[in-house]
Amino acid sequence: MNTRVKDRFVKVYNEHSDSIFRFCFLRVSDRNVAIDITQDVFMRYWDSLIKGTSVLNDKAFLFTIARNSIIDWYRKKKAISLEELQEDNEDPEEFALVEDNAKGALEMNTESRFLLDKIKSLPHTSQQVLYFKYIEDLKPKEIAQILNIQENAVSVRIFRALEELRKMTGYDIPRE
Amino acid sequence: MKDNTIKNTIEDIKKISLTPKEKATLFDVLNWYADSNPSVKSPYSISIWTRHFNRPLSYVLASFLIMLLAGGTTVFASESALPGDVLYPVKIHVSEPIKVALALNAEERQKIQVAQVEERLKEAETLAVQGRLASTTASDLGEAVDVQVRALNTSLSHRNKDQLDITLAAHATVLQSIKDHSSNDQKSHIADIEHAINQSKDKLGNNEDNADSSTTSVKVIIPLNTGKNEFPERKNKVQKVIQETDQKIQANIQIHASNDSFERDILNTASTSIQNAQSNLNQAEDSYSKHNDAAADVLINVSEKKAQEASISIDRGLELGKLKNINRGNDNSDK
Repeated sequence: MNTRVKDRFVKVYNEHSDSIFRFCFLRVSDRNVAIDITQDVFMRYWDSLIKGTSVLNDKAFLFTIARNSIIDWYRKKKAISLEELQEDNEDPEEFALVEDNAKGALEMNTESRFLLDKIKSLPHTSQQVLYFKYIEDLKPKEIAQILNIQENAVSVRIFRALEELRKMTGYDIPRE
Repeated sequence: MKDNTIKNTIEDIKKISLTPKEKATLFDVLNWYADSNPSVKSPYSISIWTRHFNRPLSYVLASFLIMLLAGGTTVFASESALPGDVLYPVKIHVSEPIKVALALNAEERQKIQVAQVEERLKEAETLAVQGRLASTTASDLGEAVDVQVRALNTSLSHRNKDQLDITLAAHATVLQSIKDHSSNDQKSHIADIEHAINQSKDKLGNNEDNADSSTTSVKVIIPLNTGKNEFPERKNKVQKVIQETDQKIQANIQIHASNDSFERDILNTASTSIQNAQSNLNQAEDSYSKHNDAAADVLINVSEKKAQEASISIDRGLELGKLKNINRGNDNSDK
C-alpha cells in the first residue's frame, strides 16, 4: 500500500483518535462500545483513503462517520428493545451532547455541572453545534459538513443556543 | 468567575480521552487492518450487498489480475513460502488478503483468519525444525500472531474463539517439544513465539472473563449448552476423535519409542491428553446418566478440547518429522 496514504492515516489517528473517542463515549456512555465505534470509524476512514475518496477535511470527515456510526448504534440498540422503542420517540439523529450515564465520567465542580445541566436542557441540535464549536474547535463550515446543513444554519444555531444559555444562566457569554 | 466556569467545563470535557494503552492497542489493530485490508468487516455494514460494494473493488480486481497474468502460479506457489523466501511477501500481502476478501460471511472470514494465525505458528515450527528460525523472524511472527489475535478477539464467534484456543494450545505443545530438542539459540527464538502464544491465550481468557464473570472456571468450548437430546450424538463425535487420535498414537509411538526426538515427546504428551479426554468423556456420560446436565456439558467440552488439541499436535508433529527427514536426506546427498 502506498506509504503516503499510510503515513497520512497514522498522522490523522494520532491527532484525532482522542476527539473521536470522546465524541463517542459521551454519547454511548460505555468505554468499550466507544472504543469499538472509534475503531470502526478509523477502519472506514482507511477504506475511504485506499478507495481514493477525496477527503478534504480529515477531522470533519471522521466526525461525520462517527456521527453516522453512533446513529446506527442507537438504532440497533433500540431495535433490540421494543419497550424502549415504544417509550422513547427521540430521533436518534438528535442525540444529546452528553448522555446522562456518561456524566459520571466527568470530574467537575458544582458550577460546571450546573452549566452542563443547562446546556443539556437545550435542544439536541443546539447542543451538537456547541459541542463541535467549543469542545472540538471546529469552524461553522466543518460543522455544516458533519451535520449536513447549511453553514448559515450552523451560525444561526450557535447564536440562538448562546442567547438561550445567557438567559438560563445569567452568564455573560461573549457574543460571536 | 463565570467566564472561568465556562472554560473549566470545556476543559473537564476535553479531559476525556483514550488511555495510552488503549490508544496503542487500538493503533495495533488498525495497523493490522490497514496491512491486511480489507480483512475485518465493519459491524455497521447493512447487508451483504453493502459489504461487497464497500470493499475496495480496485484492490480485489488487481488481485485477480495478478492471478490471471501469472496464471495463478505465483500466488499458489507462494502458499508454502516461509519468511525469507522470495514469494513470502506474495503470500502475506496478496494470497492471504484475497482469501479473506472473498469470504462469503463473517463466520467464514474469521475461520480463515484463525487459520492464518495457525499458519504463522506453522511457519515458525518449520523454520525451527530446520534450525533456521532467526531472532527477527521469530519476533515478526510472534508480533503477527499477537496483533491478529488482538484484532480478532473482540469480534470472534464462540466457535471460532474455541477453535483459536485449541489451535494455540496444540501448537504450544509442538513448539515446546521442538524447543527441547533444539540448539540454544533456536531455544530462545522459539521462546519468543511461545511468549506470543501465551499472551494471546491470556487475551482470549480475559475476554471470556469480561464477557461473563459468573461462568465456571473451566473453559467451555463448542457448542455451549449441549441440548439434552444432543448429548449422545456429541458424545459419539468426541469418542470418534479420541479413537482416531489414539490409533495414530499407537501406530507411531513404537517407531519413535527409542528415538530421543520431538515426535516422541509430542506423541507422549498427546497420549496423556487422550487418556484424560477419555476419562473426562466417561465422567460426562456418568453425569448425563445421573441427569446432571450442566456437569455433563462442561466435562464433554473439556474432553473434546483435549482430544482436538492432541489430534492437531500429532498431525503437525508427524508432518514436521517427515520434513526433518527429507532435509536430513538432502543434506546427506549434498555430502
